[in-house]
Amino acid sequence: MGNSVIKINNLSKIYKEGVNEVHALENIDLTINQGEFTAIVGPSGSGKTTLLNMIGGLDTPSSGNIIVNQTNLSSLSYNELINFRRDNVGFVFQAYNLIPVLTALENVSFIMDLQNIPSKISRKRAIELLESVGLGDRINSRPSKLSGGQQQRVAVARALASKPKFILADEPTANLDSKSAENLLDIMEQLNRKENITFIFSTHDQRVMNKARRIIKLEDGRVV
Amino acid sequence: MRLIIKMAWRNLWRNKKRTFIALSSVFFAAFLCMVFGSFMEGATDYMIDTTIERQIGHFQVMNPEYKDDKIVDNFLIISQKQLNSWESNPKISRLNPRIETFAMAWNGNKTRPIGLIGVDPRRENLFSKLEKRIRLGHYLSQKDNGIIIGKHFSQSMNLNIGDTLTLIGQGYHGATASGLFPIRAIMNSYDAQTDASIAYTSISTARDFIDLPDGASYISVLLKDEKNINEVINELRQDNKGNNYRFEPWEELIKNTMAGIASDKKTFALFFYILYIVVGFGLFGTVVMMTNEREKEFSVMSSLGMKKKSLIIGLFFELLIINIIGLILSIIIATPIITYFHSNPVHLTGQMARAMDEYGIEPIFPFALEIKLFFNQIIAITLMSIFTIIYPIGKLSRLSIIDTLRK
Ligand SMILES: Nc1ncnc2c1ncn2[C@@H]1O[C@H](COP(=O)(O)OP(=O)(O)OP(=O)(O)O)[C@@H](O)[C@H]1O
Ligand SMILES: [Mg+2]
Repeated sequence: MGNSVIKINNLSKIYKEGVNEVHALENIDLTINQGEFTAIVGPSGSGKTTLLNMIGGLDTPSSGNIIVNQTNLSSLSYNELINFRRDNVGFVFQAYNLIPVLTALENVSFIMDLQNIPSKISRKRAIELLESVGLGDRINSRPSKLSGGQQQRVAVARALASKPKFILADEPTANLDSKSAENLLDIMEQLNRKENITFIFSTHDQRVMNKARRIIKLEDGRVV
Repeated sequence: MRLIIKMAWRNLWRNKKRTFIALSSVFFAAFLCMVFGSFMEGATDYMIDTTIERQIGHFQVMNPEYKDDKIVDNFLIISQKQLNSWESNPKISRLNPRIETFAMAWNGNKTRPIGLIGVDPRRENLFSKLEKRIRLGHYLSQKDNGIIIGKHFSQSMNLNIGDTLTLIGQGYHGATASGLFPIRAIMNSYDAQTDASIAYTSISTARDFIDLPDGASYISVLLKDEKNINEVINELRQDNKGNNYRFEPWEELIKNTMAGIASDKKTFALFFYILYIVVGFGLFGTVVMMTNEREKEFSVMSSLGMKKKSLIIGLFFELLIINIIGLILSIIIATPIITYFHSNPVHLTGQMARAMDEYGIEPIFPFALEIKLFFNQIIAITLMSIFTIIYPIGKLSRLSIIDTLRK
């Protein structure tokens, strides 16, 4: 398994709510390889979001390790984690979460700007990415002028911009109608096949699950 | 950095009304502070300048004892020759010897105490323009033995031009002073108190009256340039080593007035601190709203890899843009107003104007044109920006990305 991108060892997450402890994740062991197209499924509250947040370096484990390309996330400082996210992780959120004051093009260039990539290069790449998600004609539109499906496709383009090691998408289709959802999934799948980009997404949607090539099932914080 | 500035600028347009209100409050605070500050500075400077020019000079020469005990025996002995030689000093614009003493005035069966001021008619007129205050009769000639009295005094003492007034007082070195003074003129005074209690005669007549050989109560000296005050005082002190003279600079002479002005300025400053505090809290509220409603955006940007420092800098730029535009607008609009009233001072009318006129002071209020006025607003607004950015710093440093994204 020389091409593993993410290795999770004995990962647990306990949230404390007053005297109560919520075991959101318990003893998870998992390996994700380069080029996977993987769905994390499970009932509400099973820990899907928690697991994705851990992998993306947004949340810290209570115990266990997450190793991304030889780097143990627990060893990174707060600011190192920010840079880790910027350079290694592409995020797609359920609620799109584009930056409202930026155009589609600027949203896609955002991370490249943070990486200080010259604007000539970032602009060119952003246009290519928007074209690849079928939005070549909307590059100067603000998010408020785009439909939900279009916004989510911009979000996918944004996630790809920094050439991340993998893309995490937490219920990317939950806010979309079935046609837009299918369209988005097709785009993701194409990117995965053509450019070997690793996708990890959570979903409730049976049709989305059907497109996945690997399914990780969670129940009460455990892989089943 | 370009990205941050671009986003800050666009964020300002998201809520135009709020940005406009914040900007106008900064504008009005800075504008009011500048215009009223200029008026205040200008009015007090003008008052001090004219008091120096028309009344007290840049410094006065007196007998050291005179300062605390203004009796006849503490008057200054000085020769005409000496005075003339001072007057020819190129750094001195003009000087004015005066005698100030008290006497009992007498006419028939009426008596009244009065302050008798002996002036060199020519020199006094250069200072206070005394001649302008005369409403009846003629101004004093150089060695006039007559007297100028006020309107109220003339009425209460039943005196008219041509009548003679008897004065009895304290002379030099224990002598008794007494004299007869024909009324030469009746003058206007803006307040009845001064009018009823002050009379002018020539200094030579006043000297004869109190039996003072050659001298004055004090000599006011006006310089061509105030900068030379210490130099001239030292020069005169060197030339008059034998005589024990006291040189009293104008700050000392109007110490009480200066203290009053200082406390007026403090009150005034307090008013503007409060104005800025009010505006500061208004801005603070705006920043609180700006921060809270964008919590989710901040979390998204942070999860995408933007540092919190950059998020705060972005908000600070928004504040800065509001403050700088408000400040620049206020300077653009206040400067012509201040400049206009600086070169075209407000003309006073009514009682106050007449009072000033009588004292040879043109009844105007020029505005001050001082860089300090603009500078103070820049400092105030900078402090305000720093104060308002505290909230987002606190809020963002505690921001939990996962909790906010879950909402
Ligand atoms: N910040 C938190 N504090 C306390 N408990 C939390 C917190 N975040 C998550 N949990 C709990 O952890 C468990 C897992 O939550 P998680 O959001 O990962 O589930 P999920 O599988 O994503 O559910 P859904 O399908 O509804 O999105 C839940 O029981 C949830 O209540
Ligand atoms: Mg979830």
